Amino acid sequence: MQSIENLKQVSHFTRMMLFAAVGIFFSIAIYGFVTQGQWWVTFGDNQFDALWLQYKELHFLLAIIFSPLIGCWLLGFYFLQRLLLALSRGLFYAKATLRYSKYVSWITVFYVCYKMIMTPLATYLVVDNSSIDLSLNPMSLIVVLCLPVLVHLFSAAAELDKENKEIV
Amino acid sequence: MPVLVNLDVMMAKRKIRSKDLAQKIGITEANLSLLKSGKVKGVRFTTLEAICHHLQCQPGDILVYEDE
Repeated sequence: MQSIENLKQVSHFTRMMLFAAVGIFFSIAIYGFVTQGQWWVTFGDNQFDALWLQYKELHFLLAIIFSPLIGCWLLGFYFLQRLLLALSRGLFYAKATLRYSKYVSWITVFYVCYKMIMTPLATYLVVDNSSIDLSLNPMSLIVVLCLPVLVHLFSAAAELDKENKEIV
Repeated sequence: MPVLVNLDVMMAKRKIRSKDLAQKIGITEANLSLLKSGKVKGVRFTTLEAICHHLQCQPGDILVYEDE
């Protein structure tokens, strides 16, 4: 029972850290913009940043290309904090917990895969006579593709737990 | 299922009510009812031990194997 309490506390602490990290991130971004007049945070991709600065007339197109990543951040943050909330309440094998885990893992998979193709796609659409050069990071792909497998195993464990409850 | 649960027979012999036995062995009355009707996937040794202790019987008195 002690370990379950520990897990609940760790989940709660991690959720608070998540909120703190997002809060600090936005605080720094807004502070930099207000005091220095520039965003101190970037898109996390030097090539995309360069395109953004170079092709100011194509900001709308670049924003559309970039928007799925923002969607991933928002949805990922939402489902991650919901997942941690469920875990902090001790709902380790609840259906909602498994659903949130699946969402977080598939959002992460989509995020990493889309990020790999985003800059080459943007370059291809923005710059004339350019070719698409994909830079694949095998380690990221392996780690990310393991996530759905882990979630699947987690679901299987939940089924076992359900079966155990049928033993009196 | 070839394993039959004769718990209700033993309870009748010992003249004990479901509510009392459930309380003594530490499971819910609903689970005891499921156990009596054989609608559970298994019985924990601790539960079996408690039942045998309170009914003063052997596991074989409660669980019986019958060929189909």
